[in-house]
Amino acid sequence: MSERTSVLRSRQSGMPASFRLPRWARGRYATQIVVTVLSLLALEALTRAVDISWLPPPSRVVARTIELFKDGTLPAALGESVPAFLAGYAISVVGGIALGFLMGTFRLVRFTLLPYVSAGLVLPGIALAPVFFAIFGLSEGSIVAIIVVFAMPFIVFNAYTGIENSDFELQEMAHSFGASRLVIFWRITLRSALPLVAAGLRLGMTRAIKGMIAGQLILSVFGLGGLSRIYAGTFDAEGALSVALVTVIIAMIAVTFLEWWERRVSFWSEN
Amino acid sequence: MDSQPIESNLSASQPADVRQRRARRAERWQRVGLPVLLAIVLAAIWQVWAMARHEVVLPTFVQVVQALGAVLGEGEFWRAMGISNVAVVLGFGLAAVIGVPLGLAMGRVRALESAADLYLNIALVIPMAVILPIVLIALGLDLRARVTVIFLFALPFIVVPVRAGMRTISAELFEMAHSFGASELWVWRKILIPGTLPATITGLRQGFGHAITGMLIIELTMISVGIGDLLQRLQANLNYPEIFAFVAAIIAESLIVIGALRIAEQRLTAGGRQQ
Repeated sequence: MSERTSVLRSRQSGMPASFRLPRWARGRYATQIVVTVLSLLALEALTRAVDISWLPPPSRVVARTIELFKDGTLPAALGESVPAFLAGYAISVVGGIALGFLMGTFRLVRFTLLPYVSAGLVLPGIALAPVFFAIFGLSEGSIVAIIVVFAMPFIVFNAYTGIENSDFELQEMAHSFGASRLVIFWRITLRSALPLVAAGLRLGMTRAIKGMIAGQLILSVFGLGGLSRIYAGTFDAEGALSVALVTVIIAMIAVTFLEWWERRVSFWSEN
Repeated sequence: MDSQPIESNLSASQPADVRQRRARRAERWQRVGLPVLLAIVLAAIWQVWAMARHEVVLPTFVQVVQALGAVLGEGEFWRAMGISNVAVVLGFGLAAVIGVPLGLAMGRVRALESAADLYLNIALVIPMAVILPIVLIALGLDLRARVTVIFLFALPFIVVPVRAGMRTISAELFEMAHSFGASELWVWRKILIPGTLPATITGLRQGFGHAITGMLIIELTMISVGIGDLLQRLQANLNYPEIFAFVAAIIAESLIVIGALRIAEQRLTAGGRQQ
Protein backbone atom coordinates (compact mmCIF):
# COMPACT_ATOMS: atom_id res chain seq x y z
CA MET A 1 0.00 0.00 0.00
CA SER A 2 1.39 3.38 -0.94
CA GLU A 3 1.65 6.24 1.53
CA ARG A 4 -1.00 8.19 -0.30
CA THR A 5 -3.72 5.55 -0.16
CA SER A 6 -3.01 4.76 3.45
CA VAL A 7 -3.45 8.43 4.33
CA LEU A 8 -6.70 8.43 2.43
CA ARG A 9 -7.88 5.33 4.25
CA SER A 10 -7.13 6.73 7.65
CA ARG A 11 -8.96 9.94 6.77
CA GLN A 12 -11.95 7.99 5.64
CA SER A 13 -12.10 6.01 8.82
CA GLY A 14 -11.88 9.25 10.75
CA MET A 15 -8.99 8.02 12.87
CA PRO A 16 -5.80 10.00 13.32
CA ALA A 17 -2.96 8.25 11.55
CA SER A 18 -0.95 7.88 14.73
CA PHE A 19 -3.65 5.75 16.33
CA ARG A 20 -3.71 3.15 13.62
CA LEU A 21 -2.66 -0.37 14.47
CA PRO A 22 0.75 -1.34 13.16
CA ARG A 23 0.66 -3.02 9.78
CA TRP A 24 1.18 -6.56 11.12
CA ALA A 25 -1.83 -6.23 13.41
CA ARG A 26 -4.22 -5.34 10.62
CA GLY A 27 -5.83 -7.81 8.27
CA ARG A 28 -7.21 -11.27 8.72
CA TYR A 29 -4.09 -13.06 9.97
CA ALA A 30 -3.91 -10.78 12.97
CA THR A 31 -7.61 -11.28 13.68
CA GLN A 32 -7.18 -15.02 13.45
CA ILE A 33 -4.18 -15.04 15.75
CA VAL A 34 -5.99 -12.88 18.29
CA VAL A 35 -9.11 -15.06 18.12
CA THR A 36 -7.05 -18.24 18.47
CA VAL A 37 -5.02 -16.96 21.42
CA LEU A 38 -8.13 -15.67 23.18
CA SER A 39 -10.03 -18.91 22.72
CA LEU A 40 -7.05 -20.93 23.94
CA LEU A 41 -6.86 -18.74 27.04
CA ALA A 42 -10.62 -19.10 27.58
CA LEU A 43 -10.28 -22.86 27.17
CA GLU A 44 -7.43 -22.93 29.64
CA ALA A 45 -9.46 -20.98 32.21
CA LEU A 46 -12.56 -23.09 31.65
CA THR A 47 -10.79 -26.45 31.85
CA ARG A 48 -8.94 -25.39 34.99
CA ALA A 49 -12.16 -24.28 36.64
CA VAL A 50 -14.24 -27.30 35.57
CA ASP A 51 -12.72 -30.76 35.33
CA ILE A 52 -13.67 -32.28 31.97
CA SER A 53 -12.38 -35.82 31.48
CA TRP A 54 -11.92 -35.53 27.74
CA LEU A 55 -10.68 -31.95 27.62
CA PRO A 56 -7.55 -31.31 29.67
CA PRO A 57 -6.18 -27.75 29.81
CA PRO A 58 -4.07 -26.89 26.73
CA SER A 59 -1.04 -26.12 28.90
CA ARG A 60 -1.10 -29.65 30.35
CA VAL A 61 -1.29 -31.12 26.83
CA VAL A 62 1.77 -29.11 25.81
CA ALA A 63 3.61 -30.19 28.97
CA ARG A 64 2.69 -33.81 28.31
CA THR A 65 3.87 -33.54 24.70
CA ILE A 66 7.25 -32.26 25.86
CA GLU A 67 7.41 -35.04 28.42
CA LEU A 68 6.59 -37.67 25.76
CA PHE A 69 9.38 -36.26 23.63
CA LYS A 70 11.84 -36.45 26.49
CA ASP A 71 11.02 -40.02 27.49
CA GLY A 72 11.35 -41.19 23.89
CA THR A 73 7.74 -42.27 23.31
CA LEU A 74 6.97 -39.76 20.59
CA PRO A 75 10.37 -40.01 18.88
CA ALA A 76 9.91 -43.79 18.71
CA ALA A 77 6.41 -43.43 17.23
CA LEU A 78 7.70 -40.89 14.72
CA GLY A 79 10.61 -43.14 13.86
CA GLU A 80 8.18 -45.95 13.11
CA SER A 81 5.99 -43.68 11.02
CA VAL A 82 8.49 -41.81 8.87
CA PRO A 83 9.98 -44.59 6.68
CA ALA A 84 6.57 -46.00 5.65
CA PHE A 85 5.27 -42.50 5.11
CA LEU A 86 8.17 -41.50 2.89
CA ALA A 87 7.94 -44.72 0.91
CA GLY A 88 4.20 -44.34 0.38
CA TYR A 89 4.42 -40.68 -0.52
CA ALA A 90 7.38 -41.24 -2.86
CA ILE A 91 5.53 -44.02 -4.70
CA SER A 92 2.46 -41.78 -4.97
CA VAL A 93 4.47 -38.84 -6.28
CA VAL A 94 6.57 -40.72 -8.83
CA GLY A 95 3.80 -43.06 -9.98
CA GLY A 96 1.17 -40.33 -9.82
CA ILE A 97 3.07 -37.82 -11.92
CA ALA A 98 4.05 -40.49 -14.44
CA LEU A 99 0.48 -41.74 -14.81
CA GLY A 100 -0.91 -38.21 -14.91
CA PHE A 101 1.51 -37.22 -17.67
CA LEU A 102 0.69 -40.36 -19.66
CA MET A 103 -3.02 -39.58 -19.28
CA GLY A 104 -2.47 -36.00 -20.37
CA THR A 105 -0.41 -37.04 -23.38
CA PHE A 106 -2.13 -40.16 -24.70
CA ARG A 107 -5.86 -40.15 -25.31
CA LEU A 108 -6.34 -43.88 -24.91
CA VAL A 109 -4.50 -43.94 -21.58
CA ARG A 110 -6.77 -41.14 -20.44
CA PHE A 111 -9.93 -42.99 -21.46
CA THR A 112 -8.71 -46.13 -19.72
CA LEU A 113 -7.69 -44.61 -16.41
CA LEU A 114 -9.88 -41.54 -15.91
CA PRO A 115 -12.92 -43.34 -14.41
CA TYR A 116 -10.69 -45.08 -11.89
CA VAL A 117 -8.80 -41.95 -10.96
CA SER A 118 -11.99 -39.92 -10.50
CA ALA A 119 -13.43 -42.72 -8.40
CA GLY A 120 -10.26 -42.75 -6.34
CA LEU A 121 -10.77 -39.06 -5.55
CA VAL A 122 -14.04 -39.60 -3.72
CA LEU A 123 -14.32 -43.26 -2.75
CA PRO A 124 -13.26 -44.29 0.76
CA GLY A 125 -9.86 -45.85 0.11
CA ILE A 126 -9.72 -47.09 3.69
CA ALA A 127 -12.25 -49.77 2.70
CA LEU A 128 -9.34 -51.54 1.05
CA ALA A 129 -7.48 -51.82 4.36
CA PRO A 130 -8.65 -55.40 5.08
CA VAL A 131 -7.43 -56.45 1.64
CA PHE A 132 -4.02 -54.92 2.25
CA PHE A 133 -3.79 -56.56 5.66
CA ALA A 134 -4.54 -59.88 4.00
CA ILE A 135 -1.82 -59.38 1.39
CA PHE A 136 0.87 -57.57 3.38
CA GLY A 137 0.04 -58.68 6.89
CA LEU A 138 0.44 -56.46 9.95
CA SER A 139 3.46 -54.73 8.50
CA GLU A 140 4.66 -51.45 7.10
CA GLY A 141 3.67 -52.71 3.65
CA SER A 142 0.00 -52.34 4.53
CA ILE A 143 0.56 -48.75 5.66
CA VAL A 144 2.47 -47.95 2.48
CA ALA A 145 -0.36 -49.40 0.37
CA ILE A 146 -3.01 -47.39 2.24
CA ILE A 147 -0.97 -44.20 1.84
CA VAL A 148 -0.69 -44.82 -1.90
CA VAL A 149 -4.43 -45.43 -2.23
CA PHE A 150 -5.14 -42.24 -0.30
CA ALA A 151 -2.64 -39.95 -2.00
CA MET A 152 -2.05 -41.17 -5.54
CA PRO A 153 -5.41 -40.35 -7.20
CA PHE A 154 -5.02 -36.68 -6.27
CA ILE A 155 -1.49 -36.48 -7.66
CA VAL A 156 -2.47 -38.33 -10.85
CA PHE A 157 -5.52 -36.16 -11.40
CA ASN A 158 -3.69 -32.87 -10.92
CA ALA A 159 -0.75 -33.89 -13.10
CA TYR A 160 -3.18 -34.95 -15.82
CA THR A 161 -5.20 -31.74 -15.57
CA GLY A 162 -1.98 -29.73 -15.65
CA ILE A 163 -0.86 -31.31 -18.90
CA GLU A 164 -4.34 -31.07 -20.37
CA ASN A 165 -4.61 -27.37 -19.56
CA SER A 166 -1.14 -26.42 -20.73
CA ASP A 167 -0.90 -23.63 -23.24
CA PHE A 168 -1.81 -25.16 -26.58
CA GLU A 169 -1.11 -22.04 -28.64
CA LEU A 170 2.36 -21.76 -27.21
CA GLN A 171 3.02 -25.38 -28.10
CA GLU A 172 1.79 -24.81 -31.63
CA MET A 173 3.96 -21.76 -32.01
CA ALA A 174 7.02 -23.61 -30.76
CA HIS A 175 6.21 -26.39 -33.18
CA SER A 176 6.03 -24.02 -36.14
CA PHE A 177 9.37 -22.56 -35.08
CA GLY A 178 10.78 -26.05 -35.40
CA ALA A 179 11.03 -27.12 -31.78
CA SER A 180 11.15 -30.87 -31.28
CA ARG A 181 8.44 -32.65 -29.33
CA LEU A 182 10.85 -33.26 -26.48
CA VAL A 183 11.77 -29.59 -26.27
CA ILE A 184 8.11 -28.59 -26.40
CA PHE A 185 7.28 -31.03 -23.63
CA TRP A 186 10.22 -30.01 -21.47
CA ARG A 187 10.05 -26.26 -21.90
CA ILE A 188 6.34 -25.57 -22.34
CA THR A 189 4.04 -28.42 -21.34
CA LEU A 190 5.96 -29.34 -18.22
CA ARG A 191 6.42 -25.76 -17.06
CA SER A 192 2.80 -24.84 -17.53
CA ALA A 193 1.66 -28.01 -15.79
CA LEU A 194 3.89 -27.35 -12.79
CA PRO A 195 1.51 -25.24 -10.67
CA LEU A 196 -1.19 -27.88 -10.83
CA VAL A 197 1.34 -30.64 -10.22
CA ALA A 198 2.51 -28.74 -7.15
CA ALA A 199 -1.08 -28.39 -5.94
CA GLY A 200 -1.44 -32.14 -6.43
CA LEU A 201 1.64 -32.79 -4.32
CA ARG A 202 0.19 -30.61 -1.56
CA LEU A 203 -3.17 -32.35 -1.65
CA GLY A 204 -1.40 -35.69 -1.85
CA MET A 205 0.62 -34.80 1.24
CA THR A 206 -2.48 -34.16 3.33
CA ARG A 207 -4.07 -37.32 2.01
CA ALA A 208 -0.92 -39.34 2.69
CA ILE A 209 -0.84 -38.18 6.32
CA LYS A 210 -4.53 -39.06 6.70
CA GLY A 211 -3.94 -42.47 5.19
CA MET A 212 -0.96 -43.12 7.43
CA ILE A 213 -2.84 -42.22 10.63
CA ALA A 214 -5.92 -44.20 9.59
CA GLY A 215 -3.85 -47.25 8.68
CA GLN A 216 -1.83 -47.13 11.89
CA LEU A 217 -4.99 -46.71 13.98
CA ILE A 218 -6.51 -49.81 12.44
CA LEU A 219 -3.28 -51.80 12.60
CA SER A 220 -2.66 -50.52 16.16
CA VAL A 221 0.85 -51.95 16.28
CA PHE A 222 3.11 -48.98 15.70
CA GLY A 223 3.50 -45.34 14.84
CA LEU A 224 1.52 -42.28 15.82
CA GLY A 225 -1.79 -44.00 15.13
CA GLY A 226 -0.80 -46.96 17.27
CA LEU A 227 0.14 -44.62 20.11
CA SER A 228 -3.16 -42.80 19.74
CA ARG A 229 -5.00 -46.09 19.98
CA ILE A 230 -3.16 -47.00 23.19
CA TYR A 231 -4.22 -43.70 24.77
CA ALA A 232 -7.79 -44.24 23.61
CA GLY A 233 -7.75 -47.64 25.28
CA THR A 234 -6.56 -46.18 28.58
CA PHE A 235 -8.89 -43.14 28.34
CA ASP A 236 -5.83 -40.89 28.45
CA ALA A 237 -7.11 -37.71 26.81
CA GLU A 238 -3.86 -35.83 27.47
CA GLY A 239 -1.81 -38.45 25.69
CA ALA A 240 -4.24 -38.67 22.78
CA LEU A 241 -4.21 -34.88 22.40
CA SER A 242 -0.41 -34.86 22.52
CA VAL A 243 -0.34 -37.25 19.56
CA ALA A 244 -2.96 -35.11 17.82
CA LEU A 245 -0.92 -31.97 18.48
CA VAL A 246 2.26 -33.46 17.03
CA THR A 247 0.40 -34.84 14.00
CA VAL A 248 -1.32 -31.53 13.32
CA ILE A 249 1.93 -29.58 13.64
CA ILE A 250 3.72 -31.94 11.24
CA ALA A 251 0.82 -31.81 8.77
CA MET A 252 0.69 -28.02 8.92
CA ILE A 253 4.44 -27.65 8.43
CA ALA A 254 4.46 -30.01 5.45
CA VAL A 255 1.47 -28.34 3.84
CA THR A 256 2.77 -24.83 4.45
CA PHE A 257 6.09 -25.75 2.89
CA LEU A 258 4.40 -27.25 -0.16
CA GLU A 259 2.15 -24.19 -0.41
CA TRP A 260 5.19 -21.97 -0.44
CA TRP A 261 6.75 -24.08 -3.18
CA GLU A 262 3.49 -24.05 -5.12
CA ARG A 263 3.45 -20.25 -5.05
CA ARG A 264 7.05 -20.17 -6.20
CA VAL A 265 6.48 -22.35 -9.25
CA SER A 266 3.28 -20.55 -10.19
CA PHE A 267 4.59 -17.01 -9.89
CA TRP A 268 3.68 -16.33 -13.52
CA SER A 269 0.22 -17.74 -13.27
CA GLU A 270 -2.61 -15.24 -13.10
CA ASN A 271 -4.50 -17.07 -10.38
CA MET B 1 -11.62 -31.34 -22.39
CA ASP B 2 -11.90 -32.25 -26.03
CA SER B 3 -13.62 -29.82 -28.28
CA GLN B 4 -17.06 -31.13 -29.02
CA PRO B 5 -18.20 -30.46 -32.57
CA ILE B 6 -21.57 -28.79 -32.81
CA GLU B 7 -24.28 -31.22 -33.69
CA SER B 8 -26.14 -30.47 -36.87
CA ASN B 9 -28.83 -32.65 -38.31
CA LEU B 10 -29.22 -30.61 -41.46
CA SER B 11 -26.06 -31.78 -43.14
CA ALA B 12 -26.05 -35.34 -41.92
CA SER B 13 -25.38 -36.67 -45.39
CA GLN B 14 -22.15 -34.76 -45.83
CA PRO B 15 -19.03 -36.90 -45.58
CA ALA B 16 -17.17 -34.64 -43.16
CA ASP B 17 -20.09 -34.72 -40.80
CA VAL B 18 -20.44 -38.46 -41.05
CA ARG B 19 -16.76 -38.83 -40.32
CA GLN B 20 -17.04 -36.64 -37.29
CA ARG B 21 -19.99 -38.58 -36.06
CA ARG B 22 -18.21 -41.86 -36.51
CA ALA B 23 -15.24 -40.49 -34.63
CA ARG B 24 -17.51 -39.40 -31.84
CA ARG B 25 -19.20 -42.77 -31.66
CA ALA B 26 -15.82 -44.50 -31.64
CA GLU B 27 -14.72 -42.22 -28.83
CA ARG B 28 -17.81 -43.00 -26.81
CA TRP B 29 -17.04 -46.70 -27.17
CA GLN B 30 -13.44 -46.13 -26.18
CA ARG B 31 -14.50 -44.18 -23.13
CA VAL B 32 -16.64 -47.06 -21.91
CA GLY B 33 -14.81 -50.00 -23.41
CA LEU B 34 -11.26 -49.24 -22.35
CA PRO B 35 -11.93 -48.99 -18.59
CA VAL B 36 -13.98 -52.18 -18.77
CA LEU B 37 -11.17 -53.86 -20.67
CA LEU B 38 -8.68 -52.78 -17.99
CA ALA B 39 -10.95 -54.21 -15.30
CA ILE B 40 -11.19 -57.51 -17.14
CA VAL B 41 -7.43 -57.69 -17.64
CA LEU B 42 -6.76 -56.91 -13.98
CA ALA B 43 -9.31 -59.48 -12.85
CA ALA B 44 -7.67 -62.08 -15.10
CA ILE B 45 -4.20 -61.27 -13.75
CA TRP B 46 -5.54 -61.49 -10.21
CA GLN B 47 -7.19 -64.85 -10.94
CA VAL B 48 -4.04 -66.35 -12.43
CA TRP B 49 -1.79 -64.89 -9.73
CA ALA B 50 -4.00 -66.12 -6.89
CA MET B 51 -4.26 -69.58 -8.44
CA ALA B 52 -0.49 -69.74 -8.84
CA ARG B 53 0.25 -68.50 -5.32
CA HIS B 54 -2.49 -70.59 -3.76
CA GLU B 55 -2.48 -68.90 -0.37
CA VAL B 56 -5.31 -68.67 2.10
CA VAL B 57 -5.00 -64.89 2.37
CA LEU B 58 -5.31 -64.38 -1.36
CA PRO B 59 -8.60 -65.73 -2.71
CA THR B 60 -9.07 -65.88 -6.46
CA PHE B 61 -11.32 -63.46 -8.29
CA VAL B 62 -13.89 -66.18 -8.94
CA GLN B 63 -13.95 -67.16 -5.26
CA VAL B 64 -14.56 -63.55 -4.27
CA VAL B 65 -17.41 -63.17 -6.78
CA GLN B 66 -18.98 -66.37 -5.44
CA ALA B 67 -18.53 -65.15 -1.88
CA LEU B 68 -20.14 -61.84 -2.82
CA GLY B 69 -23.14 -63.67 -4.23
CA ALA B 70 -23.43 -65.76 -1.08
CA VAL B 71 -22.91 -62.77 1.24
CA LEU B 72 -25.59 -60.70 -0.46
CA GLY B 73 -28.09 -63.43 0.29
CA GLU B 74 -27.25 -63.55 3.99
CA GLY B 75 -29.21 -61.78 6.68
CA GLU B 76 -26.01 -61.18 8.65
CA PHE B 77 -24.55 -59.03 5.91
CA TRP B 78 -27.62 -56.81 5.67
CA ARG B 79 -27.86 -56.54 9.46
CA ALA B 80 -24.23 -55.40 9.63
CA MET B 81 -24.76 -52.96 6.78
CA GLY B 82 -27.87 -51.69 8.53
CA ILE B 83 -26.11 -51.11 11.85
CA SER B 84 -23.23 -49.29 10.19
CA ASN B 85 -25.43 -47.25 7.91
CA VAL B 86 -27.68 -45.96 10.67
CA ALA B 87 -24.65 -44.10 11.98
CA VAL B 88 -23.69 -42.97 8.48
CA VAL B 89 -27.18 -41.65 7.75
CA LEU B 90 -27.31 -39.77 11.06
CA GLY B 91 -23.74 -38.44 10.96
CA PHE B 92 -23.74 -37.55 7.29
CA GLY B 93 -27.26 -36.12 7.50
CA LEU B 94 -26.24 -33.94 10.42
CA ALA B 95 -23.13 -32.80 8.56
CA ALA B 96 -25.26 -31.91 5.53
CA VAL B 97 -27.91 -30.10 7.58
CA ILE B 98 -25.27 -28.04 9.39
CA GLY B 99 -22.57 -27.87 6.73
CA VAL B 100 -24.60 -26.58 3.78
CA PRO B 101 -26.13 -23.60 5.65
CA LEU B 102 -22.75 -22.90 7.24
CA GLY B 103 -21.06 -22.81 3.85
CA LEU B 104 -23.78 -20.56 2.48
CA ALA B 105 -23.57 -18.25 5.48
CA MET B 106 -19.79 -18.08 5.21
CA GLY B 107 -20.15 -16.95 1.63
CA ARG B 108 -22.59 -14.21 2.61
CA VAL B 109 -21.37 -12.96 5.99
CA ARG B 110 -17.84 -11.62 5.90
CA ALA B 111 -17.30 -11.81 9.66
CA LEU B 112 -18.21 -15.50 9.79
CA GLU B 113 -15.93 -16.18 6.86
CA SER B 114 -12.89 -14.56 8.46
CA ALA B 115 -13.62 -16.22 11.82
CA ALA B 116 -14.08 -19.74 10.50
CA ASP B 117 -11.77 -19.77 7.50
CA LEU B 118 -8.57 -20.66 9.35
CA TYR B 119 -10.14 -23.51 11.30
CA LEU B 120 -11.87 -24.86 8.24
CA ASN B 121 -8.59 -24.94 6.35
CA ILE B 122 -6.92 -26.69 9.25
CA ALA B 123 -9.80 -29.17 9.45
CA LEU B 124 -9.33 -29.99 5.78
CA VAL B 125 -5.63 -30.63 6.16
CA ILE B 126 -5.33 -32.53 9.41
CA PRO B 127 -6.19 -36.21 9.77
CA MET B 128 -9.51 -36.15 11.63
CA ALA B 129 -8.72 -39.65 12.91
CA VAL B 130 -6.34 -38.22 15.55
CA ILE B 131 -9.21 -36.83 17.60
CA LEU B 132 -11.08 -40.13 17.52
CA PRO B 133 -9.86 -41.06 21.04
CA ILE B 134 -11.18 -37.76 22.42
CA VAL B 135 -14.64 -38.42 20.98
CA LEU B 136 -14.61 -41.87 22.54
CA ILE B 137 -13.47 -40.62 25.94
CA ALA B 138 -16.12 -37.90 25.83
CA LEU B 139 -19.07 -39.91 24.57
CA GLY B 140 -18.30 -43.54 25.30
CA LEU B 141 -18.56 -46.48 22.96
CA ASP B 142 -22.05 -45.93 21.64
CA LEU B 143 -23.99 -44.70 18.65
CA ARG B 144 -23.49 -41.04 19.63
CA ALA B 145 -19.72 -41.43 19.35
CA ARG B 146 -19.99 -43.10 15.94
CA VAL B 147 -22.34 -40.41 14.67
CA THR B 148 -20.04 -37.69 15.98
CA VAL B 149 -16.99 -39.19 14.30
CA ILE B 150 -18.78 -39.52 10.97
CA PHE B 151 -20.10 -35.97 11.33
CA LEU B 152 -16.61 -34.60 12.00
CA PHE B 153 -15.15 -36.51 9.06
CA ALA B 154 -17.76 -35.25 6.61
CA LEU B 155 -18.36 -31.66 7.75
CA PRO B 156 -15.31 -29.77 6.37
CA PHE B 157 -15.67 -31.43 2.98
CA ILE B 158 -19.28 -30.27 2.74
CA VAL B 159 -18.71 -26.70 3.97
CA VAL B 160 -15.72 -25.88 1.76
CA PRO B 161 -17.25 -26.62 -1.68
CA VAL B 162 -20.48 -24.82 -0.71
CA ARG B 163 -18.52 -21.75 0.32
CA ALA B 164 -16.48 -21.97 -2.88
CA GLY B 165 -19.76 -22.18 -4.81
CA MET B 166 -20.87 -18.92 -3.21
CA ARG B 167 -17.73 -17.26 -4.51
CA THR B 168 -18.55 -18.21 -8.10
CA ILE B 169 -21.79 -16.25 -8.06
CA SER B 170 -21.06 -12.98 -9.75
CA ALA B 171 -21.22 -9.77 -7.78
CA GLU B 172 -23.03 -8.14 -10.69
CA LEU B 173 -26.00 -10.40 -10.14
CA PHE B 174 -26.22 -9.21 -6.54
CA GLU B 175 -25.88 -5.60 -7.53
CA MET B 176 -28.60 -5.89 -10.10
CA ALA B 177 -30.91 -7.63 -7.67
CA HIS B 178 -30.27 -4.95 -5.09
CA SER B 179 -30.79 -2.06 -7.46
CA PHE B 180 -34.12 -3.57 -8.43
CA GLY B 181 -34.99 -3.62 -4.75
CA ALA B 182 -34.88 -7.37 -4.22
CA SER B 183 -35.25 -8.54 -0.65
CA GLU B 184 -32.64 -10.74 1.04
CA LEU B 185 -35.07 -13.65 0.94
CA TRP B 186 -35.59 -13.22 -2.79
CA VAL B 187 -31.82 -13.08 -3.37
CA TRP B 188 -31.42 -16.35 -1.51
CA ARG B 189 -34.28 -18.08 -3.26
CA LYS B 190 -33.55 -16.94 -6.78
CA ILE B 191 -29.80 -16.43 -6.91
CA LEU B 192 -27.88 -18.00 -4.08
CA ILE B 193 -29.52 -21.36 -3.59
CA PRO B 194 -29.93 -22.24 -7.30
CA GLY B 195 -26.46 -20.88 -8.01
CA THR B 196 -24.76 -22.98 -5.38
CA LEU B 197 -26.73 -26.18 -5.97
CA PRO B 198 -24.03 -27.89 -8.08
CA ALA B 199 -21.36 -26.95 -5.54
CA THR B 200 -23.57 -28.22 -2.74
CA ILE B 201 -23.91 -31.59 -4.41
CA THR B 202 -20.17 -31.71 -5.01
CA GLY B 203 -19.74 -31.12 -1.29
CA LEU B 204 -22.21 -33.85 -0.40
CA ARG B 205 -20.41 -36.23 -2.73
CA GLN B 206 -17.04 -35.57 -1.15
CA GLY B 207 -18.54 -35.59 2.31
CA PHE B 208 -20.12 -38.98 1.79
CA GLY B 209 -16.81 -40.61 0.93
CA HIS B 210 -15.32 -39.16 4.10
CA ALA B 211 -18.35 -40.23 6.13
CA ILE B 212 -17.81 -43.83 5.05
CA THR B 213 -14.10 -43.46 5.83
CA GLY B 214 -14.94 -42.28 9.34
CA MET B 215 -17.42 -45.11 9.81
CA LEU B 216 -14.90 -47.73 8.76
CA ILE B 217 -12.05 -46.32 10.84
CA ILE B 218 -14.07 -46.24 14.03
CA GLU B 219 -15.66 -49.64 13.48
CA LEU B 220 -12.35 -51.26 12.62
CA THR B 221 -10.61 -49.77 15.66
CA MET B 222 -12.50 -48.88 18.77
CA ILE B 223 -16.20 -49.56 18.44
CA SER B 224 -16.54 -52.99 16.88
CA VAL B 225 -20.06 -53.07 15.51
CA GLY B 226 -21.67 -53.53 12.13
CA ILE B 227 -19.39 -53.99 9.17
CA GLY B 228 -16.23 -53.45 11.19
CA ASP B 229 -17.20 -56.13 13.65
CA LEU B 230 -18.10 -58.58 10.90
CA LEU B 231 -14.83 -57.90 9.07
CA GLN B 232 -12.83 -58.53 12.23
CA ARG B 233 -14.66 -61.79 12.88
CA LEU B 234 -14.09 -62.91 9.30
CA GLN B 235 -10.41 -62.06 9.73
CA ALA B 236 -10.26 -64.21 12.86
CA ASN B 237 -11.85 -67.09 10.91
CA LEU B 238 -9.48 -66.53 7.98
CA ASN B 239 -12.48 -66.22 5.71
CA TYR B 240 -10.69 -64.14 3.13
CA PRO B 241 -13.08 -64.55 0.19
CA GLU B 242 -15.84 -62.99 2.29
CA ILE B 243 -13.53 -60.21 3.52
CA PHE B 244 -12.78 -59.29 -0.07
CA ALA B 245 -16.48 -59.55 -0.91
CA PHE B 246 -17.32 -57.19 1.96
CA VAL B 247 -14.77 -54.68 0.79
CA ALA B 248 -16.33 -54.81 -2.68
CA ALA B 249 -19.81 -54.32 -1.18
CA ILE B 250 -18.72 -51.27 0.85
CA ILE B 251 -17.06 -49.70 -2.16
CA ALA B 252 -20.14 -50.49 -4.25
CA GLU B 253 -22.36 -48.71 -1.72
CA SER B 254 -20.21 -45.56 -1.89
CA LEU B 255 -20.09 -45.82 -5.65
CA ILE B 256 -23.89 -45.98 -5.87
CA VAL B 257 -24.51 -43.02 -3.55
CA ILE B 258 -21.75 -40.88 -5.02
CA GLY B 259 -22.78 -41.83 -8.56
CA ALA B 260 -26.40 -40.89 -7.86
CA LEU B 261 -25.27 -37.51 -6.53
CA ARG B 262 -23.12 -37.05 -9.60
CA ILE B 263 -26.04 -37.72 -11.91
CA ALA B 264 -28.19 -35.32 -9.89
CA GLU B 265 -25.45 -32.71 -10.22
CA GLN B 266 -25.25 -33.14 -13.99
CA ARG B 267 -29.04 -32.91 -14.32
CA LEU B 268 -29.18 -29.76 -12.22
CA THR B 269 -26.31 -28.08 -14.02
CA ALA B 270 -27.90 -28.88 -17.37
CA GLY B 271 -31.25 -27.54 -16.11
CA GLY B 272 -29.56 -24.36 -14.91
CA ARG B 273 -28.11 -23.74 -18.34
CA GLN B 274 -31.43 -24.05 -20.05
CA GLN B 275 -33.07 -21.43 -17.89
